[in-house]
Amino acid sequence: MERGKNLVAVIDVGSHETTMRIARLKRGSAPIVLDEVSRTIPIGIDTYTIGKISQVSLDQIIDVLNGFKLKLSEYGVTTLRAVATSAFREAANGLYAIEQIFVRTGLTVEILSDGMDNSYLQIAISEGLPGFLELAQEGCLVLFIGAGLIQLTLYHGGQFINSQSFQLGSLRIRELLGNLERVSPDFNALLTEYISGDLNYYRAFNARQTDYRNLIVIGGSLRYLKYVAKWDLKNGETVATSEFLSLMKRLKTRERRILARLAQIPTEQESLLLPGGIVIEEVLAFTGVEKFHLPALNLIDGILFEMLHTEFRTKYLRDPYQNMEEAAHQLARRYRTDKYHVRHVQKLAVQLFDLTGKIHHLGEKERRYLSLAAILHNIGKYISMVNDGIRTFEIITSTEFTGLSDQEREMVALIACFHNGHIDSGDPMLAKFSDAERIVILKLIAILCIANSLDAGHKQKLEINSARLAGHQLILGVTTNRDATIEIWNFDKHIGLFADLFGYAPVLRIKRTL
Amino acid sequence: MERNKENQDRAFLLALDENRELLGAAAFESDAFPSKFINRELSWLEFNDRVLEEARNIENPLFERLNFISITGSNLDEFFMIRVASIHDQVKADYKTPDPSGLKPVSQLERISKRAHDLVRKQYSTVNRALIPALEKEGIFLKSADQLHEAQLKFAQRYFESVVFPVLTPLAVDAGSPFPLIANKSLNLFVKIERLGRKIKNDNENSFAIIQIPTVLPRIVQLPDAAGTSFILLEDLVILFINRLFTGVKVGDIARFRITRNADLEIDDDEAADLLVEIEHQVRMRQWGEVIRLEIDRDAAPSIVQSLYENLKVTDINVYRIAGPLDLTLFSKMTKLIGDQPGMRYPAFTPQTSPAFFNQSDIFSVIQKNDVLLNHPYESFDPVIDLIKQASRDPNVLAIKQTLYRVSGQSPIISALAAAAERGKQVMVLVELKARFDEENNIQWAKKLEKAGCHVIYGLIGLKTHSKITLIVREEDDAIRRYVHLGTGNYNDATARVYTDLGLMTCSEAFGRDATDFFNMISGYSIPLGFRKLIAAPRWLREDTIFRIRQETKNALDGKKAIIVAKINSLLDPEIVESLYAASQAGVKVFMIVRGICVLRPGIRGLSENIHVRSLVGRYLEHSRIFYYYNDGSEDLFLGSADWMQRNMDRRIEVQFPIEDKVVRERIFRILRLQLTDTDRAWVMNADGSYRRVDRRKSDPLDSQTELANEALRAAAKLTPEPKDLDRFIPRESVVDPDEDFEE
Repeated sequence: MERGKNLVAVIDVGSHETTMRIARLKRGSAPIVLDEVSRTIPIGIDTYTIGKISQVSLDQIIDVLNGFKLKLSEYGVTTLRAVATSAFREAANGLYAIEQIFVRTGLTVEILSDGMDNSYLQIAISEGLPGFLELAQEGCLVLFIGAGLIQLTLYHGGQFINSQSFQLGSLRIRELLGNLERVSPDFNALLTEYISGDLNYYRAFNARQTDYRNLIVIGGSLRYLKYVAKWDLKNGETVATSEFLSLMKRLKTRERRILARLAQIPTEQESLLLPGGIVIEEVLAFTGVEKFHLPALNLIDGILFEMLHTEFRTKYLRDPYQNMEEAAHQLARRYRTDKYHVRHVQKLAVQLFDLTGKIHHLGEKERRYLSLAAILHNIGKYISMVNDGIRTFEIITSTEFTGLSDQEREMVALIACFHNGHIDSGDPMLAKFSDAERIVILKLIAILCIANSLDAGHKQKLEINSARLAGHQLILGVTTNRDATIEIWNFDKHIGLFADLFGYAPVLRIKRTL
Repeated sequence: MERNKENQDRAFLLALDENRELLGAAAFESDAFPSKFINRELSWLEFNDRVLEEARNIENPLFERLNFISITGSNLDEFFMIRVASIHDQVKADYKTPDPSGLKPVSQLERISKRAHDLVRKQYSTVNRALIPALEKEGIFLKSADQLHEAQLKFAQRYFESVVFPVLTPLAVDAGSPFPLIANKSLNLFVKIERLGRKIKNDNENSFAIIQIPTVLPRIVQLPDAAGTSFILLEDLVILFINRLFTGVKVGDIARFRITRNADLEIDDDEAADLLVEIEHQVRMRQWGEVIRLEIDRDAAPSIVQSLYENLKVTDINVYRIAGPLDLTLFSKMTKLIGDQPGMRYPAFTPQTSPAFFNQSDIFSVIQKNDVLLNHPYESFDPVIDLIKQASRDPNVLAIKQTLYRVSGQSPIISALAAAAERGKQVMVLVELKARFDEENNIQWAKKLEKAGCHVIYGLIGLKTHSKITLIVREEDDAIRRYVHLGTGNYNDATARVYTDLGLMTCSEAFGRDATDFFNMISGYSIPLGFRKLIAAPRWLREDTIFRIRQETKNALDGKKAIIVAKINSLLDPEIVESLYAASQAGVKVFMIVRGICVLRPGIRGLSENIHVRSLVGRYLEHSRIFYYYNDGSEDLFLGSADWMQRNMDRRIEVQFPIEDKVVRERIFRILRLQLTDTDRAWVMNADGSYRRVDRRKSDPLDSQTELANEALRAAAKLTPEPKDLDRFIPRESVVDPDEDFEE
C-alpha cells in the first residue's frame, strides 16, 4: 500500500493559533480529518500593537512548525499547504518572517491576501454547511470573526453580492482597547461603541439589501463560546438569537470569568469571548434574524475542499469563481456601468480567448482574469470620463476581491485599466511583474482591447463566430444584422497590440444576417 | 450456563440496593466521632495491619506468610520515609492547620506513633511466636550466635574472615570526631569501646564505633546443617567476631540499629532547567534526609540509646525498640534463598492466555473484531507486550505512542519500542521520571529509548503522568485505524503477575480519536475542549466524578433506584467523600471496595448508613479501578487509572474510560460480584476505621481471587480440544462398573 496516499495536511499560521490538520481525501466525501493539533501563539498581538512580528513569537512558531513536521512524517504526509493570514499580511516584517520559517523549518508558508482568505472561508461554508445554497438563495450574511479582522459577506438570490472586511478582530480589539478597561466606567459599552461605529458603515452601504434572512457566523475562537454556553450543535443546527443574547448578558458581567473557569477554557481565550460576542450582537441587531448558524468551519476546511476537488477533478457545490464573477458584476453595478455592454464585452472577450487558445497558450486562470477585467473595465468612468482607466485601476486595487491574491487583483486591474490597448511592455505600471507575468497581462489586454472595440457603440451588434489563421492574419468571423461601421472602424484602431504580440493581425470577416 | 452466570452477575448488581446483608445496620450515631473523616495515615496503618494479618493467617502457606511480614516491613519503611516525613516537615514549619480528620500535625505524629508502635509489637510477636517456630517445625532455623554448633562456628569464622571482614569499615567516634552520617535504611551496629588502661569517669568518655552492615553481602548467611537448613544473620555474624575489628581496645555494649530518613524528593518542576538532571541529583540526596525513625534492639544499653537520641536528634515518639531482627525484608530474601519447598507457597499459577488471543497470531485482527478485556494476573500480560512487538515489526504501523510510569527492569516493552524507532516508526513515549523510588530505573530506560530514536517526553510541569494508555496508528486499506490499549495497571510485566489489573484493547474510532487528542495534548499542543469517550484528569475527571455521584443523588431524591459501586485503591478526596455522604443521605446505595486507605466512615446513622466499605487483601495485590453508576438504568461502567485521591484528580494526568462492549461489561460485573461477596479475602470497614473479617457463617466461602483464577483456567481449558479416539481402546459397552460383583 502506498503510504501517505491521499493524505494531506494544511497548516494555518493564524494570528492567534497555529494549527495543523491532517486529512484523507476521498472521492465523493468531505475530507476525513485524521488528526489536528494546534498551539496558541498570538502573533497578532505583535502585529496589531507594534506593527511587526517579534523574534520571540517567531521562534515559538518555528518551534511548533518543527513539531508539526514530526507529525507529518508520522503519517507519511507529502502534500502540504501552509498559509498565514492577517498577522503576517499586516506585519512590516512579514516577508522576513516567512523567509526565516523556510530557513529554519524547510516549510514554505504562503501569506494569503484578504481575498484568498475569504475565498477559502466561503468555500468552507458552501461545501461544509448543509443547505447553504438554499440559504444563499433566500439571502444570507456570512460573518467571519478572526483574530485580526472580521469579514462580512453577503449573498442574495443565490448570488454573491459583496464582501467587506473590518479591522475588528477579537484579538485586535482586545489589544487596542484592553487598557481602557481600567479607566472606562462601562467597558462593555465602550467596546460596543467602537465596533458599531464601523459596522454602521456596512449597514448604510447595504441599505438596499435589508432582507438578511439568514446569518452564518464562523471563527476559530467561537468554539470556546459554544463550549462555555454548552451548545452542542450538529452541522446545520442553529442557535436562537434570544439564547445568544442571554449568554452575552452573562458574559458582560463578572460571571464571564466564572463561566470560563467552570468550562476550564484557557484564560487567553476567555479574554476574547467578549469582543467576538459583541460583534455578533451588533450584526444580529442590524440583520434582525431570530436564529443563526454557528458551524465549526474555518479556513483550513476551505483549503482542504479545494485540495479535494483539485485531486479528483470534482465539482464544487458552488464554484468559487462564481463568487468572483458575481462580485465583479455587483461592483460594476455599484459604479453604474452599462451592464449590457460589459456583459457583451465579457462574452466577446471570452469567446475570443477560447478561439485563440493555440496562439496565446493561456489557461483557465488567465481566462478568469480576462473575464473579470471585461466586467470591470468601465467602472472608472463613474469617477471621471477622462483617464477613466486609471480610475478603474484604483477602484479595483482598493476593493476586496474574494478569491484573488493581491497580485492577481492588480493584474486584473491593469487589464481593465488598459482595455484600450495603449500600453507597452516598458510601462512603469508593469514594473513589479516578472517578464512572464507582463506577457500574460499584455496578451489579455490585447484580447480585451479587441473585444471592447467590437462594442464601441454599446449596442451589442457583433457576435464572434470563428477564428482562423491565414498567413499572418487572424481571420475573425463575426455576424451582425445592423450597421457596424463604428465597430469596424474602432476595431481597426485597436488591433495593434495583438498584432505586435502574436504576429497575427486580426481581420474581420463580417457576415450579415437578417 | 455461562449466559446465566453473566446475567446473574448483572442481576446481583442491580439488586444491590436491597442487599441488607452487605449494607447492614448503621452501628453508630452521627456524633459518635469528632470528625466524619478518618486520618489518612492511621487508615494506612490499618491497611498495613491487614497485610500483617495475612502473615498471621495459618491458612496461608508459610513462605507466603514470610513474604507478607516482609511486605509489612518495607511498607512501614516507605510510610516513614514519605508520609511521616512530610508531617515532620509540617511540624518543623510550624504548620498548625488540622487535616480533614481534625488532627493537627503534632497530634498526627503522636497518634501515628502510638498505632505504629502497636503494629510493630504485633509484627514481632508474629515473627517470634508464629513464624520462627513455624520455620523451625519445617527444619529451617534462624540461629543466634550462641546456637551454632562447632562445625557451624568454624564455617562462620571462615566466612567472616574471607568474605565479611574485608568489607567492614568501622567508624570510630570520640570527642574529636563527629558522628558519622548513617545511610537511610542501612543496618548498623553501635559498638561501645573502652580504651585499655584508661580510667573512665562516666559513660560519655567512652568512645564508640559505628559499623554499617554491608549491603553488598547477603543479609542471611546459610550455615552447614545436616539436620535441616540453618541461617545466621550477617549482623549476628559480625557481632560474633567483633573483636577482630577492634584490637587493643575492649568492646563493650553492642546494639543493632537502623534509621529511616526523610526521602521525599523536593523537585521544583518550574525551576528545574533540566528535569532529568534534577531528579538524578535529588535521588542521590535521598540518602541524607532528616532521621524520621530509629529502630534499635529492645535490650540496647541505655547509654547507647541516649547517644543515638542525641546524635540522630530523635525522641521517644520516633524510636522503636525491636524485639527481634531489624528490617523484616530479610524474610523474603530467606524464601528466595531456600527456593521451592513443597507446600510452602501458593500453588503455582500461570497467567492464562486470554481466549480472544488463543491461537491468534495477528493481534490487530482480533481487536478489529471485538474489544478485548484482559484481567491480570489471571490472564497473561503477554498480549500487551505482543501488541507493541507486533506493532514494532508491522510495516503498516505508522506510530506508537505510550505513557510509561513504572516498568520492569528488563522490560520487553522498552525493547520493542526501541526496535520500532530503529525501524523508522514514529515512537513517542511519555516517561514519568517522578515515579517514587523508580526514578533511577526510569531514567535509565528513558535514555535507552532516546538513543534508539524515540521521542521521549518527560511529562508536564507540575503534573505526574499516571495514565496507562497506548496508541498505535496503522494504515489499513486506504484508511487509518487506531488501536488503543487502556489500563488500570502499569506497563510492567513483572507486577502484572502479582497485581490485579484490567486492560482494554479496542480500535473504536472514538477511542482512537480521543487517544490521538490525548497524546497531542501531552506533547504540548493545545488542550482539547473535551474528549468523546475518555475522561482525563486533571481537567475533567473530578468534575465528571462529582457530577455522576450527584446525578445518582438526584435520582435517589427523585425516588429512583440509585447505586454506586467503586473499586479503588484509596479513598481520600474530601470533596468526593462529602459527595458520597450526601449520596448516602439521599438514599443512594454505595458499595466501595477500597484496598488501602479510606477516610470515609461507613455505617453512621444519618450520614453513611447506605455505604458499605470493604477491603480485599490476598495473594494478589488488588490494583484495578472500576466504577459503576446505575444512572437511572443506563448502568455506566468505567475503568481508570485514578483512585479517588486529590493527587489523582488534581495533580496527575489520569485517564478513565467507559466500557460499552456488552461482553466486556459482563466480565466486569462478574468481578464486582465476586469481590462484593468474597468471604475469605475481604475485610469490612467499621465506622471507627477498624476492620473486621466477613462473617463466614452467613454465606458460602468464597475467595474471589481463587475463583477468578479458576475461571481463567476453565476458560483456557475449554480452548484445548478434547483428546479424540478414546473409544477406540475402551469401547463404551465394555466399561466395567467397579462396584459390580463378579460372578466366580
